[in-house]
Amino acid sequence: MVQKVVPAIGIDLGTTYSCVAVWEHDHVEIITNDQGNRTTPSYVSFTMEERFVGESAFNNAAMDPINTIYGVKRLIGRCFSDTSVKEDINLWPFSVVADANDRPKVVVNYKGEEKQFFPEEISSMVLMKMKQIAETYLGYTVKDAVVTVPAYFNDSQRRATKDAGVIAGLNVKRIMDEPTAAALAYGFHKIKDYSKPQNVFVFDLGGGTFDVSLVNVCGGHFEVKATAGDTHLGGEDFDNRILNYFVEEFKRKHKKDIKGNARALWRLRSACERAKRSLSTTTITTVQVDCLFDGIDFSSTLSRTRFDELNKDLFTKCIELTKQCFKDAKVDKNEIDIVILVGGSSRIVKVQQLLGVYIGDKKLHRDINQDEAVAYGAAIQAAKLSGQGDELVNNVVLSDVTPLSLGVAVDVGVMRIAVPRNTPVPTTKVDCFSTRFDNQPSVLFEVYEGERLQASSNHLLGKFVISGISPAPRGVPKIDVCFEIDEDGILNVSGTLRGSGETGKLTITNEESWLRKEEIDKMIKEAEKYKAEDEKHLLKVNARRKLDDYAYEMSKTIRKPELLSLISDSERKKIEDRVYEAISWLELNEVPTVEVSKSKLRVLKEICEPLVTKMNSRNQVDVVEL
Amino acid sequence: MEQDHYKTLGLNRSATKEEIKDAFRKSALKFHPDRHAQSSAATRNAAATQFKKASEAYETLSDERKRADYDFRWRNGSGSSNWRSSSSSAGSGNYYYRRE
Repeated sequence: MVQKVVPAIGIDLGTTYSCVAVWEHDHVEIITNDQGNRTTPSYVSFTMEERFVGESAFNNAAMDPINTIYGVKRLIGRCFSDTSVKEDINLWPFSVVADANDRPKVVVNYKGEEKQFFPEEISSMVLMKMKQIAETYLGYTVKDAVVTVPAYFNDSQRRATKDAGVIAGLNVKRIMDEPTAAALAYGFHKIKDYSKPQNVFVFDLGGGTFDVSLVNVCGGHFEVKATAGDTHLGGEDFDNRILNYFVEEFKRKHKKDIKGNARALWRLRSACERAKRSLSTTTITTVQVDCLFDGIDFSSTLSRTRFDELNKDLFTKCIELTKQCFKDAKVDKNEIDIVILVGGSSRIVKVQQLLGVYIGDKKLHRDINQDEAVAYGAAIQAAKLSGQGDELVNNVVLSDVTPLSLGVAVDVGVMRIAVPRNTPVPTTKVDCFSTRFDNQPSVLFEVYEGERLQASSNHLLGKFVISGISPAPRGVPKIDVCFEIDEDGILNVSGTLRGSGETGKLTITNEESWLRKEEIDKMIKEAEKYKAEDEKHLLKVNARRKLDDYAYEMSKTIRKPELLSLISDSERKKIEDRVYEAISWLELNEVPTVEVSKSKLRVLKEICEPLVTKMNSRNQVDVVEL
Repeated sequence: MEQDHYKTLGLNRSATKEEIKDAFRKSALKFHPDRHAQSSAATRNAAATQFKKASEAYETLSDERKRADYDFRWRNGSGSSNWRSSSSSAGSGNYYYRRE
C-alpha cells in the first residue's frame, strides 16, 4: 500500500466549543462532526455505562449536570487556590477538589465509581474527539496537530495544554496563539493585495477567554506587535451575570432559592445563554423554563439594555485591554487599518458598539467566520509546518511575541525582568548576576512571570540553585542566566557560573501545577484504556442493535397476510412469542454483553430462518410469474 | 562581544526606520525557524540563531532611544567589552543575589 502523506490538523480547543480544520486540495476545510456541526461542544460526560464527548456529552448535561464536565480551559495550568478557580467552582454543577500539590481535579461518577481527573485529561478527551472527527473525514490516522491557546495564556497553561495533546496521542507541532491564527486566516485571503504594511487588530472574545493582538501584516510576514487579554473573561461570565440576576428574581417572586439544585441551575443557565445569543439580533427576549423548581414554571424577559447593564464592567474591561495593547505596540488607534472580530461573544452588539466608537465603526470587519477563523489559521500553520501547503502557505511567516514578562527575583524580592513582554519569539536572552554577600557559596534563582514589581505578586514558575561558588567578595562571581523561549512560547531557563562549568536548570518542583513525566505516561495509558472502553461499549451497542433490528424486522414479517398460507397459526404464534420475548428482553437490557446479544440473535435466527426462506421462495415465484 | 546590529540586518549606519523594518521583515521571512520546519536540525538551529540575532537587532534599532544609546556605545568602544560595565544596567554589578 502506498503510504499517504498524513496531513497535520489544526485544532481550536475552546472553553465551550472546539473546531478542527485541515489543509486539503490547496484550501482549508473545516471538518464537520458526526452531527454535521462545524464546532463541537468541549464537554465530557460520564454515565453508569459509558463516556460521552462532544455533542452527546452536551446533550447529557441537562440530565446529569454533576457528571458532565465543561469549561476546563479555565482550570488548566492553574492552582486550586487561585481566586478565579474558586469563583468558577462555586458556579459549576460538578465538583472540583485539590490534590496534595494544590492542583485541581474534577470529580465524577463513572460506571458507579468515583473518579478524579486532571484538567489536562479532560482536555485530552476533547482533543481525542477532535482527532477522531478529523480521522473519520480523512479516512486515516492523524498524528500531528497544531493546537491553539489564548495569546494571554502563561507558561504553565501552555505546557498543560501541550500535555493534554500528548495524553490524547497527538504530536503537538505547535502551540499557536488564537488571535494570531485568526489574523493568519484573515490575511491569507487578502495577502495578494497586500503591498503596503497594514495594522490588523484582532479582537477575540470567546466563551471563556479574551485576547487582543495587534498584527502588522506585510507580504507574507505576520508580525505580532503586542498582545493583551484576560484568560478569564468571556461568554460564560456574561451567562453567569444573567443567571445570578434571574436566580435573584426567582427568589423575590417565589421565596425560593434554586442555588444548590444543579439540574435547575443548568436548565436556567442554558435558557440564559440562549437569551444572550438572541439579544445579538433582537432588543428584548423571553427566558422560559417549565417546572424549573418545585413545579414552578419560570418566565421572564431580558432586554438588551438590561443585559448591557449587567455586564457593563466586563465590556469596559475589553476596551481597556484594547487600549493597553495599542500602547504596548506603540501604535495609535488611528493607525489601525482593519479590526477583525473573532469568537462567539464578539457578536454582542454593545461590545461592537464600544469598539466602533473607540476605533471607528468602518474599520470593523465582520466578514470572517467568528467561530472558525482560529481553527482555519491553525490548519494553515499545520500545513506549513508539515510541508503540505502550497507556495502561498510556505511563504507565510508568523513572528509571535511572549505575552508576559519573565524574570527573576533579585535583592529584596524585586522582579528583575530578563525578557520583557511582547518580545518576539523564539528568543534567547542572557542576563548576568552575581552574589550579594562576601563568600556567598550558592545562589538561588526564582523565576517568575508577570508585570508586578514585587516578584512574589507574580506567578512563580520554578527555582534552581547554582552552588559551589569559590569564596570571593560580593559582586565578583559571575553567573550567566539564559532565558530561552521556543516557538510554542514555552520557556527554558538555565544558569552557568563563569569559569567553573557549574550549571543549574529550572527545576519543576512539586508546588507547580504541571504534570510530571510519570504522571503523563500514566494518563496516556488511562486515556487509551478509556478509549478502548468506549470502543468496547460501541461493540456492545452495535451487537444489541443488530438483535434489535432483526427482532423488529421479524415482528413485522410475522404479521404479513401472505404468511397465513405458508404456516399454521400455532406455528406462527410460537415464533411470534419468541420474537416478543426478545423485544421485551431488549427493553430490560440496555447494554448486554456482545456474546449474549450474539447468541440471542443466533437463536432467534434459527427459529425465524425457515419462515424467511419460505417467504423468499414465495416472492421469487411471484417474480417468475410476472 | 556585542553584535553589530547593522551588519546583521545588512544596513548602513544611516538607515531609515523604513529600511530597518524592511530589512527585518526580509530576514524574518528567510530565517524564521518555521521556514525550515522540514530541514535538518542543524539548519533549523542555525536559522533560529540568525532569526534571534535579527530580532534583537530590530528591537534595538527600531526604538529611537535604544538606537541612539547603541550608536553611542559603538562609537565609544567599537563594540569591545568595555561598553558592558559602563552603560549596561543589565550587566553585572547592579543586582546581587540574596544568600540562600
